[in-house]
Amino acid sequence: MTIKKLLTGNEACAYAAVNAGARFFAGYPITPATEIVELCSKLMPSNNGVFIQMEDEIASLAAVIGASLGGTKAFTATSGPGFALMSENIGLAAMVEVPCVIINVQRYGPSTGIATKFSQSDVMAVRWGSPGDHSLIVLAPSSVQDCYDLTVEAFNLSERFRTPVILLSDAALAHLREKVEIREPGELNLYQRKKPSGPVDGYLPYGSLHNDVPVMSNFGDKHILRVTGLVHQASGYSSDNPRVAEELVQRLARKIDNYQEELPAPFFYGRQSADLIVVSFGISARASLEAVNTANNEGFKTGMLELRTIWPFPSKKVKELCSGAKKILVVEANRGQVREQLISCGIPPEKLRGINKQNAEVITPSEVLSALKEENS
Amino acid sequence: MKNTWRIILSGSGGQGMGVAGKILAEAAFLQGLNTTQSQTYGAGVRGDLSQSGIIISNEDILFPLIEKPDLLVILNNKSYGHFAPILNSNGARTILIYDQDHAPPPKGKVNRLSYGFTVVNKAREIYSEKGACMVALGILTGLWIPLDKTNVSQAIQEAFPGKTGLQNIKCFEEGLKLAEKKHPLRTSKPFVKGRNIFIFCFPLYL
Amino acid sequence: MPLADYKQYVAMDRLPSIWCPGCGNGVALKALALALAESEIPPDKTLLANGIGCSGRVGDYVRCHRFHGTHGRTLAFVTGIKLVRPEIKAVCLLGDGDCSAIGMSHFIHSARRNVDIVTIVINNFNYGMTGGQFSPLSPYNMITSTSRSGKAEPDIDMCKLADVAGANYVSRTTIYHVAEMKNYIKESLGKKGFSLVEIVSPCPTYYARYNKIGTIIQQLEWLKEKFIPIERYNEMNNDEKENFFWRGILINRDLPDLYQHMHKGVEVRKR
Repeated sequence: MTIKKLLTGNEACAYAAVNAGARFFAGYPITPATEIVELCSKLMPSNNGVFIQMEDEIASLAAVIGASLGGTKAFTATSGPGFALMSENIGLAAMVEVPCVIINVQRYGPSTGIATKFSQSDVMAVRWGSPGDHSLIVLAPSSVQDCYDLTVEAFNLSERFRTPVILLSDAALAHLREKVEIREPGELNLYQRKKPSGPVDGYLPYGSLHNDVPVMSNFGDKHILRVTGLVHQASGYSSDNPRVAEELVQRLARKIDNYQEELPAPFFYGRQSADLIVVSFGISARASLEAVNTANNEGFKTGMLELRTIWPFPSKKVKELCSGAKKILVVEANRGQVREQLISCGIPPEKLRGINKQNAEVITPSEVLSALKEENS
Repeated sequence: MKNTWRIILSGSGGQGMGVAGKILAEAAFLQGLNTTQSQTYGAGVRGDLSQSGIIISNEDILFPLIEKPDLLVILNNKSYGHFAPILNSNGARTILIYDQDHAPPPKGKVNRLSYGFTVVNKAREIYSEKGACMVALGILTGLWIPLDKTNVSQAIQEAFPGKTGLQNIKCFEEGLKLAEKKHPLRTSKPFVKGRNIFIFCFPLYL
Repeated sequence: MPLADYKQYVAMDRLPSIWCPGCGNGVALKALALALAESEIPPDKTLLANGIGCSGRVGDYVRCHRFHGTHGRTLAFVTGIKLVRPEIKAVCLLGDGDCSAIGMSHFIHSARRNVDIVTIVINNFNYGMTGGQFSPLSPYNMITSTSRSGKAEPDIDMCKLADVAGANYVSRTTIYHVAEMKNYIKESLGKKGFSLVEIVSPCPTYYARYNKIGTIIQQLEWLKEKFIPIERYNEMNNDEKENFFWRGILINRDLPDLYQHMHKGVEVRKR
């Protein structure tokens, strides 16, 4: 059944997680993600799940990884300073291939910054916070409905790819109340984790691959599971063999990067053959959308690209769409972290203009509109 | 035709700004309208400046936050400093509703779209200062925002179950009476179904 | 009496291990495997979780479920596992550095929550894998590769800490006292809630060499002489205590564990 409700972004994330089948939450209170922690302390026990408040964010993600290895869909929610602590175990989750979801409600930083204020400056931190080479999935919602839909998607993708998936929300979305269509479990397409079916003796946890993703058992199952953050062979025992290491680390990237068409695609608004294209994500995409809509109503010919998957960066699609544009405006509340990515795609820097704001306030439609008009004149 | 109201409620923490915004949004939601609501978040809600912003529209709301309000309700003096840029630059279009006993506008800043009401004292008279925002909601829905009164009452009842709800509904009705006294101001037209913009947006495939 | 079938838990084909000759880790592993076999816990219901460091490699030689995570966090991972799979018997085998330095807060909080975990701390008084630096458990004034003129900091007693934090079972023994070690582990496997068995172990490559304790035989004799039963230790005056460490069972009680507390919580809310 689909129910319509007025919810905040944080509430939508918590309800989505429950409806996606999450039955374990471990977290640590942090503004502006606290409402997720509080709501989960009610929702988890009332749905036969587990809520636990850990001693810090390191332990929170550790407990989430443990629960996931026990066979339960698990997640946590935090903000910048807590995310910094989680980076250690994100690396482990990527290495041992544990499905888990981390909701990062971005706040103003660096460090403690302004706990209650907004920013979009964790784009690079979520991707590169953990050492070592591996791929990772990061999704960015731009509305409360998106908070719901992409949280469900995050669980599906984490189970499908056996990888940590990060939902990059922000302080403005977290406390914004909007109408949400809540599709309940029966209405949702939920991906179920693949389980081994062969003989118990001689089972290799990393031995049978499905689209480069291992079919792994859970702790406590008949098929014995061995996981280690050390480089490991198919058996799950450690190895320092250079060939084993190379194959493992390349597969960790390949299993996601080669299947990008399964990740949420960007949205495009307006004219596809526009001279002027606005690229944005998260709540800034809403300001951009209003600006583009107003401009086009006034006779301008502009288009807008909203990124929904931020990592792996949809380079191919972005480059293809932006190739015809004379000017590309990148709207983001940071110093230009996504803009850097557009340059990496091969778009000439002189075509790019960043609309950046770093005063802890949301970028407004009139700011984007005046930049649009400047570029058009 | 487009019919969008951008409303900001501003006052002191404890006057119920956040919950009043939520009630207004819920009432609009019950009426099948599009709505968004946001509020200041942080230490301010514990006594300092506290604000709540609500957008109600018959069309899709693209940007969910408020740059320039159509209606600005001010219940304490401190708010004038915060909204000076909006009141000065856009004063002609923003309708200012203020508490005439506790938050009269600074001298020389009153334009023809400013209206004073006895908000806080009225709430104290019949319930407590905690009902001030409900009085304001009565004034807003009585004069400007075409929301069904039963929807607002229902939203109040849902936000405050039991006896507190009845007290707050009383405050809301008192606000409606205050509005009735100034009925020549009434400008509201009923909402009609508007254009949906989001259906013009399409997803791409990688 | 023949030995119980401990080999069902040990990956014999992966031996020999990477540990130095004379290291206590293998001895502790065998004691654990024996205790598991005698307690008749099936390998698919046994989880061995390790920290990082020498003792962290124990998991490479077992045939039961095995978890090896990040440095110091093992107890936090296993807390998550135990909450969703309470039927698993979880054993965390940690080193002194892993558990008492970087993992100190998780250790205290796991004991405070009384999570149903058997924690075995193999205390060889230093970080062996990285070259013999001191850990919080290295005794005062001892020589390590980061305290060449004697460790300037006092050490801490993890057993007393576990007691104060709320653990259900706390004991300490050494690699020399093999039978006692197996018995303590077996006893802790039978407990609900958090139990700690601290096993003092020789590090022939660094700690014993730096502090001139002698050959591996002399190291074992050092353990035998220095670690005296807790009853005898408690009768000593403070000056005498300076030269000795205690071994034995410090705490054995049956407070409700985390799972019971949570279960109770749900019932109370429903009422």
